[in-house]
Amino acid sequence: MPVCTILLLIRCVLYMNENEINKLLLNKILRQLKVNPDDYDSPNKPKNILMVSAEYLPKNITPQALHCKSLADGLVDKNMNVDVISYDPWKAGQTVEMGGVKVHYIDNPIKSYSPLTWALTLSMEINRKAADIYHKEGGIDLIHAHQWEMFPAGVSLQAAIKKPLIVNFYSLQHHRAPGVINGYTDSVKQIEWRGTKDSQKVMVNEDWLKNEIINYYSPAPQKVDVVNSQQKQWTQKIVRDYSWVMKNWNRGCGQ
Amino acid sequence: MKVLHLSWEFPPYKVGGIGTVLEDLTKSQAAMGMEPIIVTCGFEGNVGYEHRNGVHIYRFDADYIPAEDFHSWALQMGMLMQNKACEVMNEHKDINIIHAHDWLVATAAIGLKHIYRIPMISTLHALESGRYGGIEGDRQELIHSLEKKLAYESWRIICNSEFMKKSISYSLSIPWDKIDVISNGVDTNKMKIDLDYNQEKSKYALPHEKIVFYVGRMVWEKGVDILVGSIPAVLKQNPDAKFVFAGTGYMTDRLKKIAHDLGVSDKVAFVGFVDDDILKKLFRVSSVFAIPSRYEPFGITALEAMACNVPVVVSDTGGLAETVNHDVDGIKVWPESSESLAWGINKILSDNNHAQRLSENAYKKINADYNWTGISQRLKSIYMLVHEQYTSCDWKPSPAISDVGTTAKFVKSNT
Repeated sequence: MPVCTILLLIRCVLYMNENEINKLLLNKILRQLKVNPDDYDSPNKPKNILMVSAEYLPKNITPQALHCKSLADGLVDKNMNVDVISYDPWKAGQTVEMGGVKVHYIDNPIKSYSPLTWALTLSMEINRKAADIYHKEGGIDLIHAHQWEMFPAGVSLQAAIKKPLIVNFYSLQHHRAPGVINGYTDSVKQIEWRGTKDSQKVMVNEDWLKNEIINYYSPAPQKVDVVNSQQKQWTQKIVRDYSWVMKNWNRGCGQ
Repeated sequence: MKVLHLSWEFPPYKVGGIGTVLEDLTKSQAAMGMEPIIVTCGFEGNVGYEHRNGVHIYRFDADYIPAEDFHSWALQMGMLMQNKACEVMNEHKDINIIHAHDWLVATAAIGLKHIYRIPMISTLHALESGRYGGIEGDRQELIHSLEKKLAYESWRIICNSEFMKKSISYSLSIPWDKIDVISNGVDTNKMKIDLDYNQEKSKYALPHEKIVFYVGRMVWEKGVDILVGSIPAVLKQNPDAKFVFAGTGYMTDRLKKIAHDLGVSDKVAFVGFVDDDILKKLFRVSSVFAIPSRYEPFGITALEAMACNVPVVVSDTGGLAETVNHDVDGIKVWPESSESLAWGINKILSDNNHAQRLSENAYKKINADYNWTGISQRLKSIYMLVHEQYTSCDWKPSPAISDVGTTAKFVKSNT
């Protein structure tokens, strides 16, 4: 009996994770065709990625900024168009092309008094810039929002343009303010929860953070992926995730 | 013509005057053949869709928004409102105009405007600089900058008095010709109610007493302390006066203490929040309606009192100064002066014929100048102007978003 048929039977009988089975099937077929799975371009691979991150190199030198920069560069290497919206009051309004990645800088004109009010008001400017990209520069196939400050904008963009949303966590409010219970932390937690709920995929860089997110916000475990930028072929893994998300999205899942 | 109104309050939930105004306005717009849609907060499980008086009402759940203060609550509410509005806009694919009401919906309105590329106009019902007599502290700075941003992003700005036009222009640095004045209105039929006069009045006052009524928020800008301060001077000339205060606010306890310190506790009644029916009955059993505001962009309660044939005494400030014609359809007194306010109240309480003449003139005036049909017509002409300018400019959605968003088809002939 062919291996593919056996795997299909396993899938039907044991209800294994659909994505994993599909990946195994795809890899098997690609190997038979003598194609390296890492070089394979899924037909569902999104073309235009919008990344929103408050932190980005060279303004910020943080793990998040480094991760976003590496990811954007890696996606461009895989022939994807990447637009990044980032916060830099000194460069607001400018678009800088860095190694094929278009970085659009915005400012927040609202006089906010906390990270929460800053994030919620910055959302307007992200919407404004994202709309420019969407209407003028070839569209958006997938939105990737990094850290909770960007989730309100990501969620509202998704609701409007009906494109899949991926949220990336680097830490949780539960860890930034352990044991603190007040209106502020509850609000941030609510936004983090909304990000896990309204997105199609949650990405983290460590297993323990995945477990913490599942523990606190209860997304389906298979919705949360660990992608560590120290790993080999990590951008390829993200592209695969994007493709699976797009495939499911096009089939109507999550809309 | 489809108009998407964004407002955080809409009946049955009312905090200030926006909810009342919007209810009457949208009802009138629907009667004119327009298709008004409202996205607003839902509380106590009252969420979802309602179609009432030709108006589409969409309420989202605003019950469980955690927040450290009202400002961050409002911003989170704006986020939820924007998401709900996206659903609504994707459902109604031919919305022509987004109409935002006040700073609380600024983030949602601006976000929607850009994503869908539909013109957005705003009505600024009041300004933060007026509410507290200036901008001090980070909370007020936040609201002030949101008001400024909303005004900047709006295609046109509507306000309800010439006073507000000046305030917006100077406080928010907005060009004079971008602002249109359209007053609020009142539905005189809605203010009618059947009641047993003596029985209703007996709930608040003795049979021989004359009720001096106030309704509004118990906050500094409303000047309720000035009204309480006027009570001794009123009682000196009219010992049968009884003061009834309806509404809630952070100053309530302080006002009770002032009344106690002045020795007039037996002549005041604080009745708290009252619903529409009780409010109408209170108007009907009152002899005078007093508005002692320090800051009043318009003063919708003055029109409501006039619609109930109650003579009004108002402080000569803001929109009230434009609504009331002194000694013709009401009495205007000096702002921030208890003595002047007492004089105005006494003038009405002491002369029944004059009071009758004032209320009759006021009733005629509101029917002529403050009816919702005329107001909606003026607003519609602004919508049409905006739409004409929009159709001739390059700022449009891409064809891609038209599939999921709006296409803004506007049929001028029949809407």
